[in-house]
Amino acid sequence: MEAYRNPIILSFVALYMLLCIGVGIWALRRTKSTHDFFMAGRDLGVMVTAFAVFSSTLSGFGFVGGPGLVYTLGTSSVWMFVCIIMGYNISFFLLAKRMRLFAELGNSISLPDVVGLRYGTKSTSFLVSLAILLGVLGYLATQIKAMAVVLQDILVETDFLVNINLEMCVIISCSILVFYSVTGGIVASVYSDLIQGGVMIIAATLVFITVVYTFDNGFSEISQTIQEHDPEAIGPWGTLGMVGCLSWFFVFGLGGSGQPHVITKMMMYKKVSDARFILPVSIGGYIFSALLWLGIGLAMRALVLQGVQPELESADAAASQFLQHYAHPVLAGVVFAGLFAAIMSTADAFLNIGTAAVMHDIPKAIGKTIKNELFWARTTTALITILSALFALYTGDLIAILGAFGWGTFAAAIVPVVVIGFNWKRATPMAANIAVISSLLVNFIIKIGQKYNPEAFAIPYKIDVGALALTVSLILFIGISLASKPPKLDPDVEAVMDL
Amino acid sequence: MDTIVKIFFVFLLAFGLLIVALWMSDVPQNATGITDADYKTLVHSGQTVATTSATKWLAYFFGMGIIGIFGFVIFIGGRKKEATIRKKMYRVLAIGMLFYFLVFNAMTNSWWNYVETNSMDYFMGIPKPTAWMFFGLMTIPLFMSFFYITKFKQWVYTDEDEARFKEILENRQQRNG
Repeated sequence: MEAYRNPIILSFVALYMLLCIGVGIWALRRTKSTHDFFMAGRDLGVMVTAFAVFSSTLSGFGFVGGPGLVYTLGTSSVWMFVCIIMGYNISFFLLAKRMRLFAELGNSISLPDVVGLRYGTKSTSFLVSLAILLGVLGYLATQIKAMAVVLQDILVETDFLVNINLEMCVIISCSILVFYSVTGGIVASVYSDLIQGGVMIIAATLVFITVVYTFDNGFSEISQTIQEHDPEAIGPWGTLGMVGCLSWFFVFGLGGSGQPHVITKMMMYKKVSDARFILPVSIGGYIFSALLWLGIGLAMRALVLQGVQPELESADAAASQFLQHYAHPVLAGVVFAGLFAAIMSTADAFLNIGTAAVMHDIPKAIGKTIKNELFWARTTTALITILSALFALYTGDLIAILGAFGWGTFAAAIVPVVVIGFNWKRATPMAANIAVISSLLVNFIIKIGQKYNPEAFAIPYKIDVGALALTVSLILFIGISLASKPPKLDPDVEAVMDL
Repeated sequence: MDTIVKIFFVFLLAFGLLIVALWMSDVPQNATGITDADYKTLVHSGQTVATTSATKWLAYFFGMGIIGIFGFVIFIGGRKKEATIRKKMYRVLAIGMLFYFLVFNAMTNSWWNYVETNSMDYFMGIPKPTAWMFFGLMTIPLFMSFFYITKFKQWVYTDEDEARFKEILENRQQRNG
């Protein structure tokens, strides 16, 4: 079996990609209008929505960057998912019902659409679209690059594709992504999320069991090995320290409800009362999948410290090295498929909201209408993928800046405007606009500053930039709203906010 | 509703000042870790914030502030027009947040002990303070999720809400032709 490790892994990945193509062809028949393309006809069931919510939240980061961070920093990055139940509670208590009702009231097909409906102004909708577009370009490019790098890692191990280059891997992975996203839009995206989510849960659970059985004394041995070398590394804050970890707790806990690719799914489910079932399935799916993040990271740190495993070249190789050396080939195949699943589910979600921003939200905000929206939606999806692929391959540092820019910017821009603003009638369009602008400025200035002048822009305790931007935008949003005259709301919007 | 948001605003301003205070504080040496002497891809911890009482308490209040923000936000989401429903919902949210505060305190206390005494108490194979984080802080919010799931039709979206929404929608469709 061991001799066939790479062919087995490749077979699982190929099978998964074929499955995606199949879903794309199936979804093509169900996509007859722009409404189907972006909102799946607001007809999704509980399991499809729940799996789409958690698999879009986790992304490839949970399978590559996450274990790498745990390997390097100890338990610090665990704070990114310790907050997940609280984060989902916030999303569901404040948004699930509200987003669904607004979407139906305004017959909306995107987040900026419902923002425009709530505030009654095109400027807020335009600014939210802009923030989404900037975040999407960076996020999508990083997802495409991650997908291509993993594919290249797998293919170079085979006998027949040893010299395959990164460009070719980008073309292969983007072709699959474009095919099922263009043909089936969000329908293909969410139904492939269902498969992807299932693969992720199974893969992560099996890996966690493998991690425990890799050590004679299971998790206790991992803990003790790490503790003997550095007690703090296995303490609650890891090596980053309390303040930095708490800033992640803040920005990932509250900021989760500001991620447009996740909360847009809350506009798509069939019945409002389904929200109560979507919440527990999303929580369960995320927690099981996050076991891989924690398990592999800690196991690799312990294996390196015990001298069983040579030190890694790069922290991001933690997951692939563990799978190559310690997991059964079939399990490695499932996990690699799970990794593609995680990356693709986030990429297609971003592709969908990015396309909506370009061909629907921004033109609508500037008073233009596009004829034959479905055709242009498909064309734009392909164009954004190509642009992001070029971005991933040729922009170097810029992609890293934009990729890092994503989560915190979305959190700071969208949490006040949507999470608070959809539940508080007094919130004004002016406050919403300033909150979005401040989030873009704070994040961009500090991120770029840190890249080119790290000392001048160093933040004490490595407090996350997103946490600072979120605090600033919340203060500005509420302060300006309280200082302004209460806005006059559309009576229907006001009535829905009373429900 | 405005009252909660106004108190939240004051709380946020205080939280902002706390961040400024953290910024101005004397950061303990290598507080965010340093590259390990033997392994270049591993970070080794430096001095913790518990080294000085000033940074210890600032960091503690930073954590309490974040939990407070979560609490305010979830209270904003728990608002209902009907006073009886609102009271029940707020009671559950208040109890949930109280547990959250308590568990955070238990975890922090346990960590302070861990730092001071270097004691090696384990729970299910991991040090106690880390166990508080995983099994306490992460799971306690399930208390609130439980009520969201079981009381959805009574508290979050009642049959009256559903009927009212249908009415709003029909009126809007009639108006817009």
